[in-house]
Amino acid sequence: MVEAILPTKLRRRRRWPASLYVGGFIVAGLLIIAILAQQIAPFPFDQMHIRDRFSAPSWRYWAGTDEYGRDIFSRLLFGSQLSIALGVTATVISMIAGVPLGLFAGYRPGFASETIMRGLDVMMSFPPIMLVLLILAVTPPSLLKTSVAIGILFVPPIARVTRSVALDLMSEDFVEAARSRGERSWYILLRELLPNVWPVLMVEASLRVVFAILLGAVLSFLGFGVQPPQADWGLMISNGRSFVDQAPWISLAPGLAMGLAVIGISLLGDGLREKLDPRHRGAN
Amino acid sequence: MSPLLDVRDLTVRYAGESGIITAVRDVSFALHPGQALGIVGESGSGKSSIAGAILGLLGANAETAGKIIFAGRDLSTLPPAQRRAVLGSEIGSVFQDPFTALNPAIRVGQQIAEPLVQHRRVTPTAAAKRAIELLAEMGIARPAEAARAFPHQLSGGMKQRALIAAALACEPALLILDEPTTALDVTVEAQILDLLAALRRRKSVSLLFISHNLGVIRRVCDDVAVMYASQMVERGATTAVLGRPLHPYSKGLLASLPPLAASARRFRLPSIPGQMAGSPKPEAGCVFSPRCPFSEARCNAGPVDITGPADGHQVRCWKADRIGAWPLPEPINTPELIFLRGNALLNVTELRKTFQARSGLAAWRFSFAARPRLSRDTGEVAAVDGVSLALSPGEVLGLVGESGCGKSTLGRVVLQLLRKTSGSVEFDGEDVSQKPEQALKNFRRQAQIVFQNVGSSLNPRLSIGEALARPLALFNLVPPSGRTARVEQLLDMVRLPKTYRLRYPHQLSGGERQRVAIARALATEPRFIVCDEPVSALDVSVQAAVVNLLADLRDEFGLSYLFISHDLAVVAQLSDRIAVMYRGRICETGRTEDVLAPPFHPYTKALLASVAHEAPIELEQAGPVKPGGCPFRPRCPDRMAVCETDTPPLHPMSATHSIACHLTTLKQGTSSGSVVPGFASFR
Repeated sequence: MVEAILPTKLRRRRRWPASLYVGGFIVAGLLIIAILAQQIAPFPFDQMHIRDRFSAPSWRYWAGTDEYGRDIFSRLLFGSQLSIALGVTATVISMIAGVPLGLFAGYRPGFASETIMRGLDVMMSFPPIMLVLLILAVTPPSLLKTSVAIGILFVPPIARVTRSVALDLMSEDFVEAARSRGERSWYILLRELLPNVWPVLMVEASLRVVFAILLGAVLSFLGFGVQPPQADWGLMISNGRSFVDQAPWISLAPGLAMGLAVIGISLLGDGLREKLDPRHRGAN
Repeated sequence: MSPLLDVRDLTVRYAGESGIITAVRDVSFALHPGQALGIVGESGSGKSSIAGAILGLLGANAETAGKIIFAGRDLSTLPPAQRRAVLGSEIGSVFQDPFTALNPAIRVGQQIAEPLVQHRRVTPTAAAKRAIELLAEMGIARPAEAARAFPHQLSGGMKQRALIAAALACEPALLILDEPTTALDVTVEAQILDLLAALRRRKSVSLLFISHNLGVIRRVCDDVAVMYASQMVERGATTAVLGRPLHPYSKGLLASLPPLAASARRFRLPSIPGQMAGSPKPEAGCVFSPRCPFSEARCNAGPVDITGPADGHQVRCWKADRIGAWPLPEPINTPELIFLRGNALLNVTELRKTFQARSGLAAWRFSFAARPRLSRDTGEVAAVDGVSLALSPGEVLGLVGESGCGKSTLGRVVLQLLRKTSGSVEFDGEDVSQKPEQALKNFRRQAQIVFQNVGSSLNPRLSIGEALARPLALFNLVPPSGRTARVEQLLDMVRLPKTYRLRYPHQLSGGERQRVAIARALATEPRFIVCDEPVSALDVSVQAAVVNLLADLRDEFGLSYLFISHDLAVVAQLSDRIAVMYRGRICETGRTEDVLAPPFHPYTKALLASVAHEAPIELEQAGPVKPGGCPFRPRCPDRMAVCETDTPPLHPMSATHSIACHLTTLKQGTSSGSVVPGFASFR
């Protein structure tokens, strides 16, 4: 009712959602820090200061030092490179594989789609850590391999989300109108379905980056993925675990960094969804 | 006598993203015990916000001002708990969509008993008994069974009856109905309206009836209030307002209703130009003046007050006593075409389309009855069951029937969006139903479709220009450099400004979106368009303009339409011939004037009576019918022994008129038509 009486006047001025600004600012900041880690960091990430073990945050060590006297702030900067690379690579891999599968399954339900979706269900029924370990255990660990493994693990949820949105869209009349013009499948998939699935995928992808960073932390903790003395945020948190009572800052700093990244990426995803949606553009 | 409900200066505002929108402005009315007041208006006029304000159902972004005095208490100042106690026990409400209003997981009887337990402190067993009685009062044949049923087991009409029963369970003094029959078929609508009229007499309950449908209001209400752009523009006794409307908007609304009669090709429906303003400014002048043919400078000189006796016929127009009838459009100079059989553009022969309710493993049934037995039951349903029809170039064939009769499926099988089970579809001499998809390119260009749902027929992510340019690129009809010009030409053809090229669907109103959808269909330069309920979702004032547009395009380009609708009056307005469909079969077909004049198929007769809001049909939409025999027999008032065993073929009454009914053979046996009850003349 309310929507029906809204004015439909076209306006040139476009307002961008605030979440896009804030999220974009945080994510851009993190990226710059990750790229310039070498230049910004006051110490090399693996330099030990034996006499300054467990020192609290101070002017010399902004975020304190760990059990070997390594500067946590410097390690945080270098760790951001690993964590962000892991999260983004894993998400991109899962989207590249998951989106086409989901679109196809939504566009053409049938035996093939059913087989794909049930196969993905089987994948989802494995405990995630076990599945990744299965992939990683047989070969020597590396960051890229961890990303690929996590990416594969995230294919089923991406495909499911894509499929459910695509299935809904298939019952829309504009898809039927495209079919009545005799449009080819690729056109319907790419021009009619994908742009309408995209906003939902943006939100899902921003969540997946976050999950990937968290899962990467778990894997590092178990000894797969990042190898000491290098450390991503997850590994730093788990290392600090034993000293939480005497030196809480060891875990606190990477924890806060991860929290900030999560908020930034989620806001960015949300803002992009709104920005990409023509319904939020122009009118209103 | 003090009024039961006294609404004074009700104003409802919504805080939207674009600022504050006033949905209802200073609306006052009184409803006396036992009275029925109708509120009419198009979508966005604020009529549903009135109901929402009385029921306290408006969202958190709504703000109301004014008094809502119900039985001596001002509802708007009552604390929430007391207000809830009034609602449900003293005020009942029924909403538009019976298909979603009932909880699918709870038995119907329990949902009717719930308010009794809640408000009247009745024991659950007594309430359950009362629920069955209520269902019986609503005219449901086997009330105990209906009470035990889950909502999905009931038809739409039965669900709406159950909802009315629930609303009346606590014997409220006031029943608020918001578009209660809009989602129902005309035959079912007629039954529900009869039920409401009977209940009103029997229980002396007051009705506040909100609808966009003037015919429905006419049938139920003593008084009517016409809403336009947040204001009440006219109010009075139904006979006065609908019989002798004073406000130009009411006049236009009544004039744009298509009459239930065949219309010559030259004639167009009177329509109200333009559309309702999104944010009206009544302080600057009459809100209707931009669309009003009688408008003059004084109309925009300042606010217009509603005048007239407080209990009589009131109108918000300063020169209401000086204006004449709504202007009729000039007849268009177009010849009446005579269509010859034999040179048909579209020839559908014995078309069948079946669907399987279950497939794969789910289709297998295992029974232990006598001995373990495995059987396969796909639950096959024939949506289209042996339909033959022909369509000449430039001809419009109207296809009428209730929801679920297979009319939309027929349209999609004709367009090869669904593939036939058997039969053939010949287009321009070629059997397109045999061809693979790749070979249909030429057919796809020549045969297009326009949908009912204006919300989903355009891709929200494509601008209007992109959507219209795509068919041009796909069929390479216009070189890339000329596409913008052609898009503007297409917009012009559907009477939209050229600048709409840059807009997105959400920036258009429903009527404008439907025009774009029509332009998109026209972009391929088709010869044949399936119009699947193209105006059913539109407001009456917009509907007439779109029907006129379709008629203009038909005459200009010699288009053929398969015009699918449940609205017999709209179909009659546009169609040269009509086919009436029931359960996948055509039960009557002929020229529009033949079909609308007796003799009728009993089903056509029932449809006509429902649309005219005259003779009620007692019969409920029937469940599954055993195959063999006439599909209409369970609902037919004139069924005979032969109807149980033989399916009646289409029997020619004249060169242009055929009826599938056993009465036709009887009629030829006797000399006088009136001997046969089913063919007694209509009215």
